[in-house]
Amino acid sequence: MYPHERSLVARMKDKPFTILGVNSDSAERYKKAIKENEITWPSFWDGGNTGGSIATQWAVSGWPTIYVLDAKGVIRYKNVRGEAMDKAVDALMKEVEPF
Amino acid sequence: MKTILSLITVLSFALPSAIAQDDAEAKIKEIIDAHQVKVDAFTKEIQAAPREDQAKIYREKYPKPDGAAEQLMEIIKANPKDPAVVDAANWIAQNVRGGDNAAIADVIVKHHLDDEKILNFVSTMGYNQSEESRQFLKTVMEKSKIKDVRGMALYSYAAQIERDEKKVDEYTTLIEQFVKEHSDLEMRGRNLADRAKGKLFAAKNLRIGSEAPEIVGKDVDGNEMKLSDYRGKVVVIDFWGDW
Repeated sequence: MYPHERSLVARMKDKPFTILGVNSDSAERYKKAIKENEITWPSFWDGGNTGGSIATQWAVSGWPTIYVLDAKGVIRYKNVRGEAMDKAVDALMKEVEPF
Repeated sequence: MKTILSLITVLSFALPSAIAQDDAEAKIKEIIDAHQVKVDAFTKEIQAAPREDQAKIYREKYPKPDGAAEQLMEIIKANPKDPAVVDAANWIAQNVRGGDNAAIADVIVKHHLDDEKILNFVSTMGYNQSEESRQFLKTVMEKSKIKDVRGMALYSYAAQIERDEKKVDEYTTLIEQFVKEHSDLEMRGRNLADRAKGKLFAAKNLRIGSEAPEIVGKDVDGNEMKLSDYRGKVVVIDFWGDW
């Protein structure tokens, strides 16, 4: 997961794009994970376990769970990974920057 | 001599095809325990092994539940009315993916609908997507005299149609009913009504094409952040954990 996300973030550098995490680790583990895996994108910290309030409200039952939102905040794709995530993001970027 | 012979004849006729009740219970426990011994030994071995060998050991030595499940299934079929077979049913449902759940469901509907212990079996049937499972859950919902069991069946039935975008309205109705009638039901320490509310929220607001609901929260250092801060950007929301 991390290497793919890192390359996606690198490819979208200076573009209107972000990964926005919702993390379910303990605070220590989360901090260790961002350091070790060079995670530069922001995350909500969901209270330290998988029963956190954001994950519960969003009915997340498997990790990772992915939602891809367009620039207007509309949910356009769910649970796309790897290449499918790249394609989804590329398609939505075209809507923001058609050229 | 004649007496002995006739005694043998009588005995063999008297041998019931079903095991006597206590025996079924003891036998079920014996099978489950014996499998657990294997699992424990396996766990020990894998924990003691160097990390690079663990995957191989897992592939080669993981104690498959099939043998035990088969033995349990025989006991269930031979002693359908015995309350102990509910333990066997729960074990099979939890340990064997795609097991012969239809046959077990049949036994439960006929003989154990009012046994509180079927809660576990009912909950696993929520994950077992099939028309038979739905029928089973519907029957339990309508006929069990135990409120928690009916609640579990309702919740599991809803879980069956959760991903069917055409059934959102039916799903919504079921979950609303569940939240209203079974707000105290817990499974493995989690309140199901809270989870159900999340699912309802998801069915209503987290569909493709709907505007993502606002998230207000904090980063790990306690700084406030909001999803709407990122409007104007394409956003990949990633629920993640480092495990």
